[in-house]
Amino acid sequence: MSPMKTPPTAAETRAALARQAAFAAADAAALDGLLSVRPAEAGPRPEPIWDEATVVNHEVVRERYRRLTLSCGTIAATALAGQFLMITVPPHGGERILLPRPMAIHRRNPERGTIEVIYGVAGRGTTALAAVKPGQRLLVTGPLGRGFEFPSGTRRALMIGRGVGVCAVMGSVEDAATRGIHATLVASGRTRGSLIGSAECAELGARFIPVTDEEGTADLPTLGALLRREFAAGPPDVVFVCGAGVLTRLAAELGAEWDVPVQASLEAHMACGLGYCHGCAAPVRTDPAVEGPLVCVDGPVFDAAV
Amino acid sequence: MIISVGAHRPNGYAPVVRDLGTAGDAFELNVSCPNLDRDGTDIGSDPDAIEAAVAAVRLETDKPLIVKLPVLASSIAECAQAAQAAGADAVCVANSIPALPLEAYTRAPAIGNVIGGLSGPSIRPIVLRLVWLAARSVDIPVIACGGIETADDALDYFSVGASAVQVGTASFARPFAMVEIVRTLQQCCTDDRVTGIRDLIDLWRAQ
Repeated sequence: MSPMKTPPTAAETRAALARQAAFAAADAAALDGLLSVRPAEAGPRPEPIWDEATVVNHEVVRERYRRLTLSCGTIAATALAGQFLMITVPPHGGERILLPRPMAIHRRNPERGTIEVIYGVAGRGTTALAAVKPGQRLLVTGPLGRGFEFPSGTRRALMIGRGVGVCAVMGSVEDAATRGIHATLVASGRTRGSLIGSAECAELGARFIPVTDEEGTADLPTLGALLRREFAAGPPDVVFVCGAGVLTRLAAELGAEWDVPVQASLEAHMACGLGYCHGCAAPVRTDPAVEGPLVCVDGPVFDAAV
Repeated sequence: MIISVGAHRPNGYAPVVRDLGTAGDAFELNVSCPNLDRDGTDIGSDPDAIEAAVAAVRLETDKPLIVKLPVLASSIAECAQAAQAAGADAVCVANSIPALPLEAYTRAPAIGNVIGGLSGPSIRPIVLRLVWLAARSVDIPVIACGGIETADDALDYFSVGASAVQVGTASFARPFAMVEIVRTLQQCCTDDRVTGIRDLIDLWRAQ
């Protein structure tokens, strides 16, 4: 039996949401003027499909997240690194979730025909999703959006993720392993116990660098200094980042110092994920007379440069 | 294929339709856009602006024209009549409702663009009224659009005068929603031994 968790008081909830709001404001400020839509992809994007995916496994991981393993062979075989899914959440406890939820594809296993997503319970949709049991079927649409692309000739790559944002870059660590690219993953988070990616990096032969708020290693000056030391002998050929605007800015600054491209994946609320509803306006500076890019179809991966 | 055309000025539609040339089988004119010639009021809430936009497009094409009207019009009947008078082949009623959702507690805007269109089942009774009003005021077909998730919802709209329905939001969570609705409507007709939805509605009215 797990101990009963005391529900948060209204004051605690408000404080937590105020922290989130402050984070979102810092994020928006850090991203200002940084992002642009990537040039056309080298190859075609896989055709998205919908599938009644069977839940193979659903478990708590890294203290505060849940890992959902889904059996959906087509998406497992076609998804590109950095693409995402829309998951339709079944009704739970009288609560009906009208719109599907976007989730980054964390792992692809084409042999077994499975994919993994990792999420934190944050609101109504993820609370209802957390109640889904193995064996149940979930309606998923994907793979969606444009992912990370290694520039040709990449030999070394740096991936940086904050919190659950690590999942958006994990597909590129998988690609690096199959293409003989030397990958370094920096996982940033509040506590060591909550960091995602250590086991995955061990499996994929990537270097794993944990940095945390509790150890005082995740702040930007400390992390910047660490990465400059880490790559003093020679910079990576590309940097992929997700999970925080301030980390994207740090990555873009390092990219400018090293003269290498930086690609950033954005997280956004979405209603459709298909470019239809126009709810996920991307924080990209554009001519106000022209409709701006959307996170779902023009991203979620954008170029980031200072 | 129906091509949806939007513009921010009444004279902005015709050039787009002209440039599209032979592309598409029909055009939807989305007049639920802010009119930059009139301080951002909806083109579709102003019968004169609708008439000007549709008449200009009518000169450019013989293909079917569907005019997609907004929810926020002072008189949906006058707007539908203006579209009909200018040569529209059908009107679509309605569109999403401009809304400003906030996050709980922090009260920060919940969507990137701050203002967005509210759609889905919560707007169905609002749009049902508009479809009823529009269908009574014009002879051209009224296509209903607003929160349709099931065949029952579609039949609600048919019963107030709609000739066809569109499904948007329901397709996000259930991409096969439209196929399900069509199959269920067919089954309803088969069960009641009628050949079309109009007969089905008449039959239910008679009972």
